[in-house]
Amino acid sequence: MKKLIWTIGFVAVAVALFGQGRSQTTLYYSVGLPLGNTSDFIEETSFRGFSLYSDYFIEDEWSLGFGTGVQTYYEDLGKVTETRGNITATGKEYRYINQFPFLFTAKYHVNRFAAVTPHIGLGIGTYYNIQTVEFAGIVVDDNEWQFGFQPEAALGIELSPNTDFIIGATYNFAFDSKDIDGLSSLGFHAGLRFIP
Amino acid sequence: MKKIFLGSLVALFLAGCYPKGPEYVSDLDLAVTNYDDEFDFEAQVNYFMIDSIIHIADDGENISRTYDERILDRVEANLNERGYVRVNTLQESDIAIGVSAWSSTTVNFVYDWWYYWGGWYPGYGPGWGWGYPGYGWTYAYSYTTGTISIEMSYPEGANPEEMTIPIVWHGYVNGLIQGSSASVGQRIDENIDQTFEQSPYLISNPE
Repeated sequence: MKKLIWTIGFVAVAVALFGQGRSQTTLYYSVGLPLGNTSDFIEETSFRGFSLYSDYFIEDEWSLGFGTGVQTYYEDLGKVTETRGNITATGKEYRYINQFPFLFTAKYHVNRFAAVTPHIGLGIGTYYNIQTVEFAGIVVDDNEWQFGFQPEAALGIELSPNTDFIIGATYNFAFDSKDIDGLSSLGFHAGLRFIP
Repeated sequence: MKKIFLGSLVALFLAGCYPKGPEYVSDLDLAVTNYDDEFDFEAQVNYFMIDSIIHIADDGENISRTYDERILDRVEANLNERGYVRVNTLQESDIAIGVSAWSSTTVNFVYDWWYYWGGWYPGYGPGWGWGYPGYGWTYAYSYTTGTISIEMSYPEGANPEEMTIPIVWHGYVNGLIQGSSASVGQRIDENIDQTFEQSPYLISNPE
């Protein structure tokens, strides 16, 4: 887990250094609101997340890029009693989902050079999910990749010629995989956009 | 340089705020029960309980006997509360209770601990095994330090030909040894109570 986070940190640096000129890099603090299967597993909103996008402008309005990050969902279910057949077990249960998106993005930017710069976009790619149940200290993990997509809307506000404050929202939809149902969520983001 | 710092900061931030999960020893406590649904628990009245706890430990390892009396008292209290009556000999009993404790990391359900019931069941000796109720649910976990096992058998079910003793109810309590004596004792009580609480069929109510 920590290795994966450090890897994303490394990718963040690499992406930030890549594509000077017609590129921009956005670093978000992210809040994740679980939906559908995600909320069936964990109901709590996640305040542990970040995401990173790098965009390269092919025209003034259009950019292509890559996005990644991590959102960690967690819920302490307290003392739980589960019965299967004749066996009953009682213990404290904790659940986790760590979701890592790896998405190729296309974005449409309105008034790219103005002080306020809205954009909409769509990301398509895969999500790597680590879904964990910890029951009385017994840990069971399911680790799987899921295909998915991510519509996005965001608004940038110029802070300086090279930096924007940016807020945005995303809808994350992932398709079912072998052992994990498709995990979907709403993401709310706030961060900084760096324009070299 | 600023960007390298930012990337590292993000990684550090996320590693640092990762949810912790269990924080206290008691968060790891586990109570598991299993039973034979064909056995008529209500029809039973008298029970015999071996008056000491069998300790199963790896070579050179000892489990403290500090809590033995407390454990036996708690099991007895729960059985009495459910209408069962303790008797002094196996011959007088409808059901028999044995309590064991171990601290090894892994113990299989069937273990060659023949002298556990030795001296109580006539003819019981090496080679005998346990007739546990079916474990249709694969409950995969490894035992960490400190497990108490409470087993209920019944003398009439002993099968000399197949050399098995039926276990009709099985209660496990796991994760008990760390912490102060007071807190360990309290958790022992709570978890033994939990095994009975989650076994509502354990009640003596003969017609």
